[in-house]
Amino acid sequence: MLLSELQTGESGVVVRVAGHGAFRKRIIEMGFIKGMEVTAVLNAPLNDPIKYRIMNFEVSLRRSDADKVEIVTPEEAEREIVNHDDYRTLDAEETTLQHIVNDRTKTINVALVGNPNCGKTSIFNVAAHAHERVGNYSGVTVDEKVGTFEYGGYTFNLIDLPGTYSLSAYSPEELYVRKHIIEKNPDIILNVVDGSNLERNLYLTTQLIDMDITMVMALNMYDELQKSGDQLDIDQLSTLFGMPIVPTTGRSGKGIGSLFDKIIEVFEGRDRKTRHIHVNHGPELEACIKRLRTELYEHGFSDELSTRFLAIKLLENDRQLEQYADEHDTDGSVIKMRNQIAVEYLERNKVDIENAITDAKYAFVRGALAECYQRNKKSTLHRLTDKLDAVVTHRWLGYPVFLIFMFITFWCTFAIGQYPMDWIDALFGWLGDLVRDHMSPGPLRSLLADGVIAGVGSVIVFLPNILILYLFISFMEDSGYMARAAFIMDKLMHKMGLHGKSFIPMIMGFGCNVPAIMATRTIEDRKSRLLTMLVIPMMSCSARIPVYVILVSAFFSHHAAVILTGLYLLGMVMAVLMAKLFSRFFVKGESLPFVMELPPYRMPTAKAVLRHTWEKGKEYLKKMGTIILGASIIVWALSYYPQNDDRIAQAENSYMAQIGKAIEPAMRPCGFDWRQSVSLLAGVGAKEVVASTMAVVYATSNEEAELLEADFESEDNELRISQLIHDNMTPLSAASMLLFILLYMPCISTVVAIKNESGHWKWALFTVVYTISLAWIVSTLFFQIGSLLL
Amino acid sequence: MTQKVIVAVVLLLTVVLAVRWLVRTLRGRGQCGCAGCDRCPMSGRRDCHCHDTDLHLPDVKV
Repeated sequence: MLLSELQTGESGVVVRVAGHGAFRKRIIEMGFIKGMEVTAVLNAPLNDPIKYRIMNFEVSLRRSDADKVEIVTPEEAEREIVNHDDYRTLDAEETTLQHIVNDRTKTINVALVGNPNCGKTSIFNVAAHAHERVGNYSGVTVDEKVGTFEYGGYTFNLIDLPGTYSLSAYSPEELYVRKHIIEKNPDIILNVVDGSNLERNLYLTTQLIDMDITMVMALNMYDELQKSGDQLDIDQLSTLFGMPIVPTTGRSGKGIGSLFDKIIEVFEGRDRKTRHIHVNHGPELEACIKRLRTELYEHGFSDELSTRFLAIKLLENDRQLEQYADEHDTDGSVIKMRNQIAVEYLERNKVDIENAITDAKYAFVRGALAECYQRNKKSTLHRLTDKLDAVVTHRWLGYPVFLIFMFITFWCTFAIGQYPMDWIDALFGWLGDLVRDHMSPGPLRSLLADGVIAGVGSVIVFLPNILILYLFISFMEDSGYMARAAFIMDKLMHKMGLHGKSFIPMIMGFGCNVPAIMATRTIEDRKSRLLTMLVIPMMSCSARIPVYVILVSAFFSHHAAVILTGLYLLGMVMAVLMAKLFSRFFVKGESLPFVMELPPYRMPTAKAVLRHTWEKGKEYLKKMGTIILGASIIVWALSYYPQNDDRIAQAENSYMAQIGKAIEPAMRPCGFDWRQSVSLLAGVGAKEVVASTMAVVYATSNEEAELLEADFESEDNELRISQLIHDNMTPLSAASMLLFILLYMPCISTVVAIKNESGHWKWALFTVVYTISLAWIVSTLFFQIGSLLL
Repeated sequence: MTQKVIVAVVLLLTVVLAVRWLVRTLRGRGQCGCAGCDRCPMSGRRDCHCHDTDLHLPDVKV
């Protein structure tokens, strides 16, 4: 608990003091050190300040200062004794308390801070044995990930924060990282720096230095730095920045052990490199900073936040910190002083002070690098990237390259996936036959054969296709091509009211719409973010693959890859058109300029790509055992009851048929019968359910179903379900259904994700209404025009 | 008869679990990429073992 929570008369033992700089030093000098007993003596009349007794003398602390001191009370110790078997053997209360204090002081909270795509999550995964998503583009991490692990006798709480270029209040990530550092007070900031891009990465380091916090630098991607032939004197850089620097390679895990050894040294105060430095902004700016700092001191701004950081940020017109200053300084003299300094600086130098500070920080970084870094001008890393970019981002070649890449992706997904798909289909066919042959007729046999095996089997056969699709998406993400795709699409996206960055969540939507909607967090501009969220459901997620393949292989198997690629492209075109429409009528606002890093190309490691692919495959299999299984059972029950001896009569009068026939009139213009209509309705829960419902409905309602089971062997590589559908649907109706599935409402999870990310049910419901309307209009037009022509 | 009883039990369980799944999905459980346990912060609880509510980006709602 915190010292401020101690009631009058209660005692506790100090575990640690958070905070920074002079404030922390002052508190520690007063005797608030690890293991010291402290008692709350009395509260002032307004509950602030509080008087404490420590080392036999009394000190008074403000409640806000007492918030920075973590303690353990005997009551807490009692509770821990009950919860932990290890402590039960200890007798005396003090020993237990000290034991717990020692345990807690062996816990180090480390926050990973660095530029986007510098490898923070790779380090996090290696250290915490986690499997968080990584990729070679900015903004893969959109919220915090926390990992806990033991190392060197210490417990580490490692927090992976979103990547940020600076600590200004420009984007949500920047604000969020800053807020975390200020409010959560991690013991150590692990500043991850991309060794292949030092200058820009060290700019963030200079801002962290201003915050006066304890830091260790991980010089990541050190292998690339070495490979490039660049020379870096790490020891010298470490001295110049006043913090220890450890070279690491996150992808292979090299150097991570040494990194955490260094963190322990710094935490225990044993590291000699750690010293507080000031980034020198030059005499004139330093004078301005000093003048504003003095004003801040006079108004009592000295404890919560480094006054130097606050002064610099105020001079940079940081709006959030302006508000903070206003709250603490009611007469507004700090802001008046800031304005005066800014005006005077502008008059003297004809340069805005905000720009001057940025220039000075870069000058500091350049100066430091001039002392210890020598670039190899013959480096091949960037030359290879430049050569590839000359083709991939070429104004004419860029688009065909993208289309070819997409075509290869979908061709492999379906053509290569066909073989294992047939094997799994045969396995489930054999299982169904086994059940039919060995069980007496009855509802349980029908439930297992026509419900569970037909339903789950019809979806699980697509696991190979899903794995191949994710393999390609992982390759795009990890190689750096995803950022290029966003780059070439920016102009088109911008014309449609979107942002170049919108393209990445859209491509991610091919996998699953839910993480794609969460990935829109990387888009700073509110309008583009909302628009992207609204159109992501147009991107065909992997859950739609089963029904696409079933319909395409039933009617259009000779042009499968072309039709499937066309469907995906049509989804993208519709998304862009919808975005244009919405930006014109519903979501208005100014767009922000496109700023996105194009990282150097990297060869993805097989381990990372396969792990990502397997994680997605695992999720898919998990769905089979839960949602798909449940939906198959429910759909089977609705199709099986009420029972009738005549199979055709039963199929026509089942509950499922009744529901289907009730909605059939509305779907008839699209060319759908009751079985198609009811399958589409079932897909609201999860898109795979469309396929499993079709399998169950067509299996239970077709009088020839059992005959087909027997004759199936003779069919040419066609799925069982596809053959059943082929006999009960026209090609035009199937094509219309493909369009409907492409465009109609997303699954419930996606709807909820839109609600959570947009903050309103309004936008989630809007998505449901517009997607259903659009799907109905497009399918109806297609079917009616097709009926006239054919 | 035995088959009917087993099917009835399976159906009852499926309906109960389906309602539970629907309620939890509507509450947004597990959408942040976590395992989606009962204490998921996306459903408004603050004591999740994966991460606490404060850890989600608070300022990114559009």
